[in-house]
Amino acid sequence: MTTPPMLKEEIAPGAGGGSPVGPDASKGVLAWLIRITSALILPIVIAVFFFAFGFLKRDDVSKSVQVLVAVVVGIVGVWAMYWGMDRLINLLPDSLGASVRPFVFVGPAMVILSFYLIYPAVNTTIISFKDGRSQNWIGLDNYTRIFTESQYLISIRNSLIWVIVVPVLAVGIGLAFATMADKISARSESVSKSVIFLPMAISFVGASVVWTFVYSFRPEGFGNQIGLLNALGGVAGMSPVNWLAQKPWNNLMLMVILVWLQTGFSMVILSSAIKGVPDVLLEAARIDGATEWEAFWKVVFPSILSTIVVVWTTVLITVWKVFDIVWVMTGGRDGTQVVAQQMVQEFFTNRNNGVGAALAVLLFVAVLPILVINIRRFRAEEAVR
Amino acid sequence: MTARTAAPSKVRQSSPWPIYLTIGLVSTMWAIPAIGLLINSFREPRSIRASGWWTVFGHLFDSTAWTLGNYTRVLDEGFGNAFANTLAVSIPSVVIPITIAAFAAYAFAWMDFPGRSWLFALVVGLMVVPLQMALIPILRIYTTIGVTGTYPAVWLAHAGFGLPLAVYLLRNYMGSLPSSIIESASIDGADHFAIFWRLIVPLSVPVLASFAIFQFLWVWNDYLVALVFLGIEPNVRVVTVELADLAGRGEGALNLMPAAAFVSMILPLAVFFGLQRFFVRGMTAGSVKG
Amino acid sequence: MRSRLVIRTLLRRYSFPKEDALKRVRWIAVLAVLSIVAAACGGGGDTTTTAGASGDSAAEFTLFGAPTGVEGDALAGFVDVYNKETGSNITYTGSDDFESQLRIRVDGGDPPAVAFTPQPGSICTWADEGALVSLETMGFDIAQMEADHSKYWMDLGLCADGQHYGVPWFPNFKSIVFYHEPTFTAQGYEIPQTWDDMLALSQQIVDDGMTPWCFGFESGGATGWPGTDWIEDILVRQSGSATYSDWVNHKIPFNDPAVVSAFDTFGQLFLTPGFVLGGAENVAGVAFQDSPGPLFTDPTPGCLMLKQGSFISNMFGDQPDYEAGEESEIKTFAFPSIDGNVGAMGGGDTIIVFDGAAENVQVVKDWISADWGCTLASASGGGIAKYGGHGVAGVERLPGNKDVDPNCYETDAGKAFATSVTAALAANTFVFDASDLMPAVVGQGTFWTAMVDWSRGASSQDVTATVEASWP
Repeated sequence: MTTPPMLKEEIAPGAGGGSPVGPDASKGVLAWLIRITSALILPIVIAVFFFAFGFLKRDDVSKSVQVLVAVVVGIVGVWAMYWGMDRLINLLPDSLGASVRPFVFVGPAMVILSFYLIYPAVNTTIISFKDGRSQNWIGLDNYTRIFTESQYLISIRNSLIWVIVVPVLAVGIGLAFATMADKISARSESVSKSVIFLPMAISFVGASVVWTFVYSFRPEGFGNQIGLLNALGGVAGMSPVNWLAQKPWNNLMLMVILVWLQTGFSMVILSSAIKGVPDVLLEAARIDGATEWEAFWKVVFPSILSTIVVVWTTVLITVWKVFDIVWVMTGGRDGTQVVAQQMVQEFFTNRNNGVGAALAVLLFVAVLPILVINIRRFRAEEAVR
Repeated sequence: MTARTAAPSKVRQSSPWPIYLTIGLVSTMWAIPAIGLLINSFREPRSIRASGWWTVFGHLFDSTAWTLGNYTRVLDEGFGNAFANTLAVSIPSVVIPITIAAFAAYAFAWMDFPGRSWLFALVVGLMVVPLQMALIPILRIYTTIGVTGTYPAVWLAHAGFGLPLAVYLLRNYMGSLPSSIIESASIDGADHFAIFWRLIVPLSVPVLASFAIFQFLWVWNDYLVALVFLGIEPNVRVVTVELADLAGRGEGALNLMPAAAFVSMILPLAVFFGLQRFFVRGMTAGSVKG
Repeated sequence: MRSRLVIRTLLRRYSFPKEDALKRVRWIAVLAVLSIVAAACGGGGDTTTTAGASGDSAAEFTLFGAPTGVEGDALAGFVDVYNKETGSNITYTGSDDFESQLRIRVDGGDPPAVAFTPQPGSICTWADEGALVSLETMGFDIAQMEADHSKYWMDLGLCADGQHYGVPWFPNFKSIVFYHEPTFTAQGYEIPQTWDDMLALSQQIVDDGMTPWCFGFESGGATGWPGTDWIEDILVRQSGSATYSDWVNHKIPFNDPAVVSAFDTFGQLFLTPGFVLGGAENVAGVAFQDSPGPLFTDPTPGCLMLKQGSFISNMFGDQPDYEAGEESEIKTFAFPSIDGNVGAMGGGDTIIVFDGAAENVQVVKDWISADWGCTLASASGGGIAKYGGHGVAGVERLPGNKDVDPNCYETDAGKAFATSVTAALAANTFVFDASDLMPAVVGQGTFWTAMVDWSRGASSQDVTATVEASWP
């Protein structure tokens, strides 16, 4: 039997360095070598396992065989490899094994992330210091441009408004909805939650068509309005309005689309967190005479606060990266440009790699405060559990 | 079962009507744009352009106002094949990151190791890396090692792009499980692997299901990754690529997209309904009572 | 102590798949089986199709281009005819997002063997990066091609190293105006031959209580492009093709007086009150797909004229007031002359070759010939095509080779356009849409935006100066 799990009580505050057990075997170059090697073994095996199948080349073998292999490998195979590694670690001395095991658990994820995200991010950072064709070094010129030229400044301003407005609405409505849906009959809950979830299932192109039927505009002479807003406006006696060209409200019109799409995400996650709040706590509060409103703020809200932060962070990052809504609906015209849309435009349309990459780096750097908040919360939470 | 016994404990308020009303109102607001799309998907292309979808309520039973033509055109050719391709892409692309992320999330939540906080911060930070910036460097490596156009290339790419969110969501959930469970289990002599597999994974089913849904939706509706790493030749096209082809240069967008959007939504909605029963009260509650 | 008991129970429970765990396993199994069944149903077919017969020198590659939808079907139909005729194994794939996709594939080291681009401005970018094979290397007869496809078009693919990289394939034609013929006949209107005639006619129509013009600039992220065609057609007539080329190549600034003057000339028509249905300031909100709609309004058309590329006739059937057969009421006339100058402006697709294998080169040589041009022309090839037509009804492709017989086209409009285009190619007067030639920042960005701002009242000087400032 190996060591007991390292629970919070055993971890020295701010422990970044040491393992709680036996300093002798778990320190030193050899121990690190073993840790790193064991972290790498699994992902390499997994990758080789996948790519070694020459027959997985798309044309050669029927899809059913491929999917079968993938599902078997994905579930059973990967799991079995983790299990096998775990057994191997058990052969190591206890204290060394305990310090190696976390690396085996985390290793595959980190290797895959290094390949698919870290390497491209580093690559992007490098080309952000080069010119439009990524040939010559030009220092900080690209950064100077994005912080001085008005089109980029407008997009930064707009993105900041997006990351405030959309998460507030998407998480706020999602939370209120999840809380209320928890109190109605199971059938109504299921139906109403599905309705809020529905937009998530629509492909992006579909969503843009949905909102075309809301915002569409036709001046006099071009027939009936097919956009809901202008039709309602017509009933109220207004003349038709080109909604997506009304500065600055057109930004809000676009944000509404993302709220419509993202509320389903926050609602589903928050709903499952609310359902995880132990009944006993709620019942105790009610017995103490709390109203539903008080019970929510005193019992439910504190219990799901960390989930709210998670949902908030996720929605915020999604919003920060949003480009397709703007791209398709307005192309960034009429003061609706946002950072990510400018990035894609510079990189793919204008072929100005340097500025595109600098905008991408701006995206990475801007989330640092969010990471700090998350790490603080993560440590605080561990301190109390 | 835990679920079923717990469900009746749902407290009914003395007057649930305000809640029903609010829920009904919000649901309606959310549904209206989609209802518009649904109605238009059954109208003649010309009617879609001629008048708003709400005008059908004036002549609901006029059979000439309705058509299945948009659906038959969408389902006409190549769609079955595209559907199969999408399934072949999406199922492994959901299963692989969940397995890998679950192990990592457990380690981040319940194991101590040097650099843990920093690695976790890195993982969360990677959520912000724009997919568009990652495609070219990865494609270049794929081409060098000759795996472009294979399913594993797409599966692992989706796994990589989905991992940060998966690790983040799972770690948060696993970390919020009461430490008493793990303490007791380890006193009982369970090691990390047993605790993970026998306790944490079963207790994390709601969050695993949530992530599975989102990753499935993401992969199902993805266009770019499949297009770049798998290709657009008719025999490997996924549904989104097929639909983009159908939409043509704008001309077909308003006519066929409503029907196409609903056809491609069927499976994601089925998955949502299928997994919804995992989001029920009491999944974790039962284990911490007492 | 009780909690330990619960934990132990749980541990035991999950060590063995009881009900809950069993369910979990079951849905995974169901999904897996479902996917395998679906894959088997859908996937069964294609494993066999790849095993086509192919000789040793037969070409086998994927042709990559921008057209999708019915236009893509027509190209696929054309490729099928070619495959049957020659035993090749070529497939066509189109993408709405062609430029980005090509960029990703080339930069990622996985370029298509052969592609054709609607943006000749990008050809030399690829060539400079060493991604393309030159026509000289592949053994094309440049002089012959300049005669067949016009020197102008060949020069679009002439890059810094003095070699040619673009193979002209098929153009489209934009210097045309659609009009409602019955009203013209009833009112006794004459087809305008000059710009001034067209202004006078427009005023006449207003005086008769109707609206002359329909416009629609809205096109989602590409809003504004329909307006650029007007400026180009006016500029090439008003200031000549030399100035036009200088403007495209930025030898004169974007806000050169000649260009400002082209905007002002357009303004004589566009900004005159009553000339534009719905008002000029609202044009940027009208979807270009909807712009032909009022031509079909009964009893009096909402507008009588519309300038748009030849492709717009494919959208007539979708218009709200369209009735079967009404497309025959819509005829076209050539964009009128200015100061006696005429011109033929349009776009076109140019083949670029990434893999210059001998069999691929042979395919490209075949495709640009007059014989294969006739197959590409229409569904039936007009009944005179040597290899038959491409088989997709309703789609016609204009000829990129001056020797293609206009009788390869089925419709009167197609024959008329083909005649104009082949004449322009032979005389080397066909010019390309400037927005396809300028750098993307301008041609697919600020030029479009300039049209939108201008339509809402910004001055010609201001909008052209803004575009000039954005020129990379």
